[in-house]
Amino acid sequence: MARKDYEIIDDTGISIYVAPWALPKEDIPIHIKWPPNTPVSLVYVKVPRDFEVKEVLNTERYEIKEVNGNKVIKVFDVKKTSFSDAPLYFGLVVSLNKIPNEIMYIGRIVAEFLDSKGKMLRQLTVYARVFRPIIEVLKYPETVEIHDGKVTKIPLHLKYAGFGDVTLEIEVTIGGKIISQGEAIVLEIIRRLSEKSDHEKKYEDFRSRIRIQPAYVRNLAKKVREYLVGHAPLPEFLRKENIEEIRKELLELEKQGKLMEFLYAQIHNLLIDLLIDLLERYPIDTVELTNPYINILTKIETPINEIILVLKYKDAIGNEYKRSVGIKARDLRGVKRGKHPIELIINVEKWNSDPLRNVESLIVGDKQ
Amino acid sequence: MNFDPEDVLKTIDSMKKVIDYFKPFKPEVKAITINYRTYRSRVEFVVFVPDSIRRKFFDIEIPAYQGYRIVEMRDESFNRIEALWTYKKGRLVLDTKNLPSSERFLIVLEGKVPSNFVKRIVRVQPAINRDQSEEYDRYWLSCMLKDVTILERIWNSLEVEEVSVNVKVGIEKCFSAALPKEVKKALEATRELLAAGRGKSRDEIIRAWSKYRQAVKKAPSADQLIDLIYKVTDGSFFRNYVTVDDPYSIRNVRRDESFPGPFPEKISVEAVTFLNLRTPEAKGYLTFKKKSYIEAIRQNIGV
Repeated sequence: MARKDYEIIDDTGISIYVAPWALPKEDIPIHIKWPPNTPVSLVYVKVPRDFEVKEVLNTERYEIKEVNGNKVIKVFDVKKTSFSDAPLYFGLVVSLNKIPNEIMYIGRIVAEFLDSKGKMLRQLTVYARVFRPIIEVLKYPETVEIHDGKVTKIPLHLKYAGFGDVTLEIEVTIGGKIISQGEAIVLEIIRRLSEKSDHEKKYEDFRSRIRIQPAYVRNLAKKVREYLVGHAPLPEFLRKENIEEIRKELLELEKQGKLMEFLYAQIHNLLIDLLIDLLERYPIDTVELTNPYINILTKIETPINEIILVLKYKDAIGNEYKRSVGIKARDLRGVKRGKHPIELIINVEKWNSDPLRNVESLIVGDKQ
Repeated sequence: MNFDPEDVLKTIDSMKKVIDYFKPFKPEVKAITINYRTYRSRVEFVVFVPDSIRRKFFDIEIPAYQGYRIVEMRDESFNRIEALWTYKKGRLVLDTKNLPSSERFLIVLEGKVPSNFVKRIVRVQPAINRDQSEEYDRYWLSCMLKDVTILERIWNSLEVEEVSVNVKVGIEKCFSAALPKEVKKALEATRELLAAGRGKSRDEIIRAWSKYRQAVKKAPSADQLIDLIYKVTDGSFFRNYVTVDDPYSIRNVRRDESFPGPFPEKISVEAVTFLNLRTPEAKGYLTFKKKSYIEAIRQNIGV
């Protein structure tokens, strides 16, 4: 049998199993079991201090103490049944209560099984293996120039390493103001509405046969509503004269109960974009971009000298990680600064991917 | 995390009381199971109805108690006995005179335990993130009884069946892996053509049209792509690409409809196992055969 360092079953049938991998702060179940004829009457389980003990299952009495930098769970007695052939068992649930700096955090777990006289029958060591993702910026422009009415491009070369699927969002801070990417699809709907000249035309052919998740349309409707009806601030490029008119029309549609139907039709028109988005959303297997096109458009009156990019990424359990880089900006806009908004296009041109695979079969024990 | 003993005891008591009503017939419980998914509890017990009793009493009556119902009755030869129980004024009445010539009968009662009860006796958890290889994605599964004595207090060989662990298998990224560059090029060409159509430049339209004609030759249309996405995320299709280790088995595979994106992103796979006093915990893996699935998507689109 292949060696595992997250599970041991010894020759007497005493066994300990710890879930083979986890993300930081994820619950890690530990199963501890021994045959009925084994004279175990006391069990000590030592886990590193950074682990929180969240649950102790099927025990009559236990106590948790901190000894020499470890947490020691002392289990005096487990719950038993009258079945003479049923195994004896208890469970623990622990979790790493911090986000480690390194990709891999190894928690050494030692279980000691003692008899009624205090003699140690067996000592078993397993490892809780906690992994995290890391996104690094390998290459970015040191300096960019900002000209009147010109798009400033920021190409990036990023690297994913470690473990865990992430969603990545790139946020920009210019002159102390945080600007997020915005809701690309929502803004696209509004832009298209504002660019259509013939108002009659855009409301015809509501009914669409498209198979889009209703929840998605509902969410989209909510966001469009926030911008147009709820008066959320619109990006500069959308502040067209007719926005107010669209606002009124959408309110009217909402009154008639036709807003959702209308939005379905709009989404149908965006179908191609949605499909391209689906294909581009995963530049590599482990990374999902919240928005494949990172366009930033903002109006900043004062001269700027730095653009800070903040890469915010979240793992499956919701842990948030951040990496920022500062890019020097040469603001070459004319004397009437603020006349032109700053338009940035941030493009991840290259991805390096070095994910940890097969962590289940990873042997970490010897490194201790 | 903690038990509310009162709540649990209530459930236990109601189950025991049902069996107590059969006391004159020396009930012998054969099996009690609680279904984790449906909260249905099933009690199988044998009663002894000797000829003497049968001659003495005309009917056997028990109160129709707390939603428990008799779902099955069999004689010693295991033949099913139909329609001898009737409901009269809040009581279930057995017409003994028409019972077959057998002294022992198996009775199966079914009822429901409170929905939170099963969650209080069992702890289940799947891995939140997959472990991946080129071929597959894996998720660990863990199930544990929280307190074996609770089970024994109900009955010593109570079994919790269909303890289910739900894993959300992410599949959206399989599309970008499965669909070749030509598909994306064709979509982009379609987008350009639509944009050119909105403009006034005839040259631009001709250029976009010719690019579009070239690109779509090698790729499916947007409608075909959407149909494909829905076909390969159908539970019955996806089921072929997921396996579980013993003692787990797959119960249900369905497209997860609760996601915020425009297209399905995850498939919900339900792995089930059983727990009892002899098997108080279960572990294992759910494996998604990613490479075969991506290959199947390619075959379905014909690229």
